[in-house]
Amino acid sequence: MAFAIDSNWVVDFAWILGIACTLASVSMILFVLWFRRYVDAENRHEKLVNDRWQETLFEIVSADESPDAENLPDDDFGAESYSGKFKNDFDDEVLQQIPEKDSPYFLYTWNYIHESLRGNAKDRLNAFAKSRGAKEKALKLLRSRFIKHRLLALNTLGNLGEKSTYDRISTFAAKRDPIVSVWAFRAMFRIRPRETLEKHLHLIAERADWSPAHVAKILKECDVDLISEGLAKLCNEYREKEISEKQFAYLVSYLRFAHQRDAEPILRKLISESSQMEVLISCLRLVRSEDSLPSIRKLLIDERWQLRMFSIMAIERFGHSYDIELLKRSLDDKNWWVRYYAAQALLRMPDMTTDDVKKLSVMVETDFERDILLQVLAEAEFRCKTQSSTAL
Amino acid sequence: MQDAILHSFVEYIQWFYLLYFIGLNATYGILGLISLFVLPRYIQKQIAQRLPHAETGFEPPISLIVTAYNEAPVIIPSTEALRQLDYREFEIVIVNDGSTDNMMELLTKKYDLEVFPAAIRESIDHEPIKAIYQSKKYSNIRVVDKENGGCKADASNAGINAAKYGLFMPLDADTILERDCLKLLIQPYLLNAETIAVGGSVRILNGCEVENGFLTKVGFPKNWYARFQVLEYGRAFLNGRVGWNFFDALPLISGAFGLFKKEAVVEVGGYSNTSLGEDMDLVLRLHRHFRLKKIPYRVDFVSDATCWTEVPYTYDILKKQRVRWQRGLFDCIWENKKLLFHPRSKGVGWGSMPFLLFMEGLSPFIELFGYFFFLISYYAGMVSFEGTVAFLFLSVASGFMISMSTVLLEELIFQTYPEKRDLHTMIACAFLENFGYGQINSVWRLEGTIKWILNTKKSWGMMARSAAWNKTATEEEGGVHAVIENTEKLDAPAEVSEETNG
Repeated sequence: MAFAIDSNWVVDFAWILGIACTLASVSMILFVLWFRRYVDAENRHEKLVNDRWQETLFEIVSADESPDAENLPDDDFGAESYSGKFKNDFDDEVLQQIPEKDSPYFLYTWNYIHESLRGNAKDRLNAFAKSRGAKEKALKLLRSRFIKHRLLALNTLGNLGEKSTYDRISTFAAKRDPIVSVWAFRAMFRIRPRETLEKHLHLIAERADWSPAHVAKILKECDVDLISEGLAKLCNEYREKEISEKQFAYLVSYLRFAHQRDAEPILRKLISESSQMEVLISCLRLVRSEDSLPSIRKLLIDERWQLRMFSIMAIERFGHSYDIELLKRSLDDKNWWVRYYAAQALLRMPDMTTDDVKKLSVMVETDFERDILLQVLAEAEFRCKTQSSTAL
Repeated sequence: MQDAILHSFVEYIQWFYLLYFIGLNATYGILGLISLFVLPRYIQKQIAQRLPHAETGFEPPISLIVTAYNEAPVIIPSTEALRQLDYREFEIVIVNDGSTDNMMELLTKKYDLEVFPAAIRESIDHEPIKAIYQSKKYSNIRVVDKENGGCKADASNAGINAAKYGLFMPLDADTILERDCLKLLIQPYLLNAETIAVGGSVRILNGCEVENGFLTKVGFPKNWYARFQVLEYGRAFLNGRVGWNFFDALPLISGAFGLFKKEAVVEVGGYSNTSLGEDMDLVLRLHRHFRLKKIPYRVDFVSDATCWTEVPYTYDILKKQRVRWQRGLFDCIWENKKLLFHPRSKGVGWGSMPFLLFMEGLSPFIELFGYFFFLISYYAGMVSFEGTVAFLFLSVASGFMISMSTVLLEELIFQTYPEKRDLHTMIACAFLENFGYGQINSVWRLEGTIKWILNTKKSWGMMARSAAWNKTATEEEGGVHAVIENTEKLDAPAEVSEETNG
């Protein structure tokens, strides 16, 4: 048994590995302790800056003097002259330049307040920010290696409506990062909506990595007269192009931000011709024209339950008594959701009263039909009760 | 001759342990580095979420399913807190899993419940539902009163059947959610329509202050068991989940905090009411179903969506929990063994599942055998003193380093514990957990493994809750103020309830 492995290099290796782990741990401890001191100091500074600028910015927002819409500055020169109005209103401290280190904090506070506001107060904030060199600071932050600074800069430039920065921002819309690019796209729409619509709207069809909800939010913020035709045109164009079903379905769903007159022709065409489920669902959610009704009725017997359900929802919107019989047939569907929406639709049909539905619940043959009708009736009764109690 | 064989054996064992430590450190190191790379970028991008009106208005509605068994002390404050969540549209479905206390009476009184003739779709099996109630005060509160199913899974399945919306979140009655957590958890669904499940981080409530069902002050636990668990949860969520999520191989979404697509969960048959690890089992079954059938899907993790939960603070309860977790782990791996090293299983079958099996499942064997082997070998004169110390030192040093990497990530990204004193305690815990706590954990897990092999009777265990946060709820009507603290300051647990409705 005299082979104790003192000299075995496995043991030496274990020592080395153990020491390496210990050194790594000690380094991490030292770093963590230093980092905590750094973060504490940084947080204190951030709080000081925020407190100071919040107060100032709130004063600007709540100032009595509302700018005359016609005299609003639309360029840098105008902004400077307009900001001169504040020189008499605020003390010298406010007019101090923002130190470089403070600019992200100032811009965040400014953006936060800006995003909370509507109307003229935004213009006052813009004018003030321009006079404090927010544009230059934002452009500088666009070059930062921190993504949060780049996002902040894009939002600032968008909120400022800085036309001169449009081209610079448009390069960010082409970036690979979906968050950065979609923020750039939003800023572009805020600065030059018409140009963005004409030159860059195709991005919403091509960027599959962009969140459809964010794109929808951007489109919702736009003037419907401005984007309506462009959206319909884009849908028509991409109907023939090679994009995924999902992506095209999203594109169709953006037609909710278009005028009905622009959206309906393409919706009608798609409902009658397409077999793609996602696309059809998008259409069924939006369709308002009775011209599509024959195609929608055909979908009531489609083998995909989602299509049966959405076609019931569409039929309910039109409210034709002819469809009551079709809806009654759907009460016995094998899918719960189809039965549920069929029962709801029946209750909401103009030619059906609550009593009619109650009678129907007694007459139906299966438990499926009866149960779902009773649930929908109870829900309706509950809604009536809560509405009347709210009214009281 | 015999000496030569023994010598080779000892050397092979030493090599095995050396490689084991290298493998362990390398895996945690890689996961930690990924978190270090991914998390700061992610958190920076969240600046968008912190601006006002960050919601798009297109966030889908969510069903919150609160499963509760004898949770009378906490059900009202919990529900009231849920009502105040910052989200566009959601419903609260409380599943009373055959409680024997006065929980139903409290709910009926508080929310003015009346029987509702709901046509429940029985997509997933569960114990019979006695009745469904609708609150007359709030249209988004319903109560499903069902027969006791003996486990949380059964109650969750009933809740899923009753849920009105396409996304649901299963919750425990005592979970404290951060007000914006739904807005954060919904993000992956908005970004990728193929998302079927999203998990968030679970943090430890012991030592924190809670008011009106919301966390008002973060504090580090005073109880040592809870303190060590802070690091364990950190390792699991900051290192593990973020890292595995990067490889699209997330093996687990905590049962206390996840957002699921109802259609996908129904497709795989809902929660398993035979598995002790029903939450992990569900996620692995989702992977198995979608991956092996080549259906595109995504299981995601949102690190800054946070819920807080009370953890065991006594030896007995912690032991029961760990034994149960270990059995659950093997249950899940065994049930989903088809996924392991399957050619189509990608990151799950080739990364996270082998990690769970070898680094989590079998590690108690390896570690305890290691201690046993080196000590016996030393006394038998087969290994020198230096050799024994070297390997014990390596074991402690590598454990310390892994825990420190969690502390580092925690500090770099979240700085959850604002007090400097708490940071120092956390560092001390990272070191001290290697002297006793780690080893006793291995013993419990070994017991769990043996029980799984022997297939002894399953038990969901009892979870003692301090329930201190409910204390003043009865004193101040409607107001809930509490400090979740350790047993040292409590005379006795105010309430003992089944941890998972068992």
